[in-house]
Amino acid sequence: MFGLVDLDFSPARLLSGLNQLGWITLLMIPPDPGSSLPAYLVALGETLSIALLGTTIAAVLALPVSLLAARNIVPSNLFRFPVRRFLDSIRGVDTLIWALVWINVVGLGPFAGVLAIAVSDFGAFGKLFSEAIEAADQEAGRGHPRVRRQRAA
Amino acid sequence: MPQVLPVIAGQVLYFIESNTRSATIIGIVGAGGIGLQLAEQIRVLEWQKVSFLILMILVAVAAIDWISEQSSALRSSGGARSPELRQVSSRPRNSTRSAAKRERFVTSGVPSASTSVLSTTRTGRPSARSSRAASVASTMAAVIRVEDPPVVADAVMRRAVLSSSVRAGEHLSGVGKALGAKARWC
Repeated sequence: MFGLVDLDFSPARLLSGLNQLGWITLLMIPPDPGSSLPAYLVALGETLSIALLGTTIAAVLALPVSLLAARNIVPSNLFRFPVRRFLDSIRGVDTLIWALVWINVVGLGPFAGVLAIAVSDFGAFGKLFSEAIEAADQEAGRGHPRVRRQRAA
Repeated sequence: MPQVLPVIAGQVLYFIESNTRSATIIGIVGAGGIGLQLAEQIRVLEWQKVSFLILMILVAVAAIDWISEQSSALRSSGGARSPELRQVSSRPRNSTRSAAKRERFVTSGVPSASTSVLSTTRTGRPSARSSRAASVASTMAAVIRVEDPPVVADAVMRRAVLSSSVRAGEHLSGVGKALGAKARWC
């Protein structure tokens, strides 16, 4: 309750805002690109290639690191711990923040976008891949169902 | 490694889809692409253009979703997700009708319509119809399992890399535009 008051929550403003939202929706109809359709298509292609390139770079870079973070590849807790914390700290920063950082480093443009997605996904992929590797190893240990049944008996 | 690769390929495909959305967002802060156009049109209150851009993004995300669905269908139809399944499919191919049935079940993941057709008649003898269906099913199973999952995933990934790098070359001209946008943004 205190939070609502603190954040200026007011039903009146919400109602008038809804009115505004309705107006905007009406203004949106019909969707019309005007004369800049080619520019939009180029921009869409740019966005798609940012996503594709960023994800691919992240996956390629994360694969070796994820091996280092997997329990069954690197049994030593001492070596695995820093790798995992490193991935955590990369993952802890959102893609948007990385984008702002990279824009300041390499300047405005798609290149900064590719770097931002590559870096933030690198952290996520590192974790996901290492978990996949650990899970796969456990499954392989189980072996054939018949053998498992014999063992259980 | 062959166990891990399909999982990894699936995760990468999902991330490509999710990154299309986040690439739009980071476009707004100045990383180029359609987010930049969207932010500009919202700023000048061109709502018709805004709605058109939103529709474009929706279509693009849906298309990528469809592509990743297709390729994951390819992957899972190769079978052998877990060692248990691989054990089943490594026995002699379709030595019995039930083996063909099982194979079909394993490779496609879901019991298909032909599974029920495959059952024998009340007297215990397979009818002509069910034996024909059995041969169709075993042929299908043989065709489906030709595609080795890691190879397919690899090929899909390689194609994705290739096409994206080509497109990146095309859109290098966008950098100049973004630099122009910087003047407006600052």
